Amino acid sequence: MTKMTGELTSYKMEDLVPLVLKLAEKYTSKESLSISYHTAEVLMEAVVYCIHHGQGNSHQAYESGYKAVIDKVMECKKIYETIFDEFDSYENKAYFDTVIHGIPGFFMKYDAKFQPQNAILTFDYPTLIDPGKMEGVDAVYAYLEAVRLEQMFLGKIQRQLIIELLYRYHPEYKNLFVNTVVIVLRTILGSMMIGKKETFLQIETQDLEAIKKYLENKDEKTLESEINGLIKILVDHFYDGNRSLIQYLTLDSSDFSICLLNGAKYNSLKSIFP
Amino acid sequence: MDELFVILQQKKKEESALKLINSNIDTKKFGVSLSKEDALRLLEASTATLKEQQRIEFGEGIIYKLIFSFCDSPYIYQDNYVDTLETLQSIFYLYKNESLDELSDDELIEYMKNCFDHVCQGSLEYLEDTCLEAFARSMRSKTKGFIGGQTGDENDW
Repeated sequence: MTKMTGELTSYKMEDLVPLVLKLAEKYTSKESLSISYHTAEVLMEAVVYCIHHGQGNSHQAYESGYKAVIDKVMECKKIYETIFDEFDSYENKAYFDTVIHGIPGFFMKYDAKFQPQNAILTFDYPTLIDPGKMEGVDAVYAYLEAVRLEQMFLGKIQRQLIIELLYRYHPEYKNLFVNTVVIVLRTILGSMMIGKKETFLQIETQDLEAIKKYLENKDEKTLESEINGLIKILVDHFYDGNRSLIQYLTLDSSDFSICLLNGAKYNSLKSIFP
Repeated sequence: MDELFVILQQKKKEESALKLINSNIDTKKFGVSLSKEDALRLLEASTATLKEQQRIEFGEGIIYKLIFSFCDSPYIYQDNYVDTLETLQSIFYLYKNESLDELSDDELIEYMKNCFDHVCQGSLEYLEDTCLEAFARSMRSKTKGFIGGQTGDENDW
């Protein structure tokens, strides 16, 4: 059963059965009078998924929900078109394959009628949001939005500097399944913490000492809040205060603050700032 | 899925018994008919088979198609009519699953009838264990010989 079933308390099984049967007839093109339990489950999930996107009684909710799913696919297509033209994978294979080869597969194979809950993609390149917690076109929409914001963020930084940083992070960086933005953002934030304006994508050994000093007597919550503040300053200054970008980048703040405090405690800040 | 199964079956049972008996109008000319008890027995067997094969049936049910396809078989007569229908129904759902739902009801019934009347000479065991077993294996290995009825090479399966 789909993850949304629990939220559909206003619909009873009896309301959904006619919708499933109607869908089953379409699924079999009326050439079969029966379906397996597995197929019935998939179709029930399809109905529940669409209803979750619609409003009204079960029938209206399904119809409007189905339309909303289709509309969302079209929105995804629009986002993808904006990303595609200037997409840069920064030499990372997983990033390239997921966006350039994977996403078009979604548009070709997504089945809004019989399996709208299936996003098809495996989202190999990890973004700061986890599309695995969502289903169907919702997951793809969230993922594309994340990729769009990442491209916007990275696009303002000199490409060569990013590439150099990423290869300092790991010589085999191009074959890794790592998020590019996290590496770049953390380095920039490190520079901001110590007021470094030149070569902000390279943290030297003496900079690490300064960062360690900056972290002294700070707890996790305070640091997280300060990181959020730095992200806001960064976005306000270079990205016209784009709220979506602030929201997206701050998703890493909690993890980053824990990494920093542990790095300072165990003298391993170098691994955070390659 | 069990809840969905029960709702569907209850709704169906009420209408179905009467409809099954009405099929006698067409089958009597071939010397076979169903009593009310027979109809209820077939419906109960249908429910049990569907549950066993983990399938959900909608519409009028496959038993009608089986009745109209097999009633003129030279190997079916009043004494074995209900037993044969019950077994055919069970075989049908088994091989619907075994063929991975890759073929329509009509295609499977047509193949079953063709085998039953010819190569099986009325033997349900031969139909189930030999003909349909080979047919399903052939289906799973993506043979296309079944398309458009059994008009292709007889040895294909």
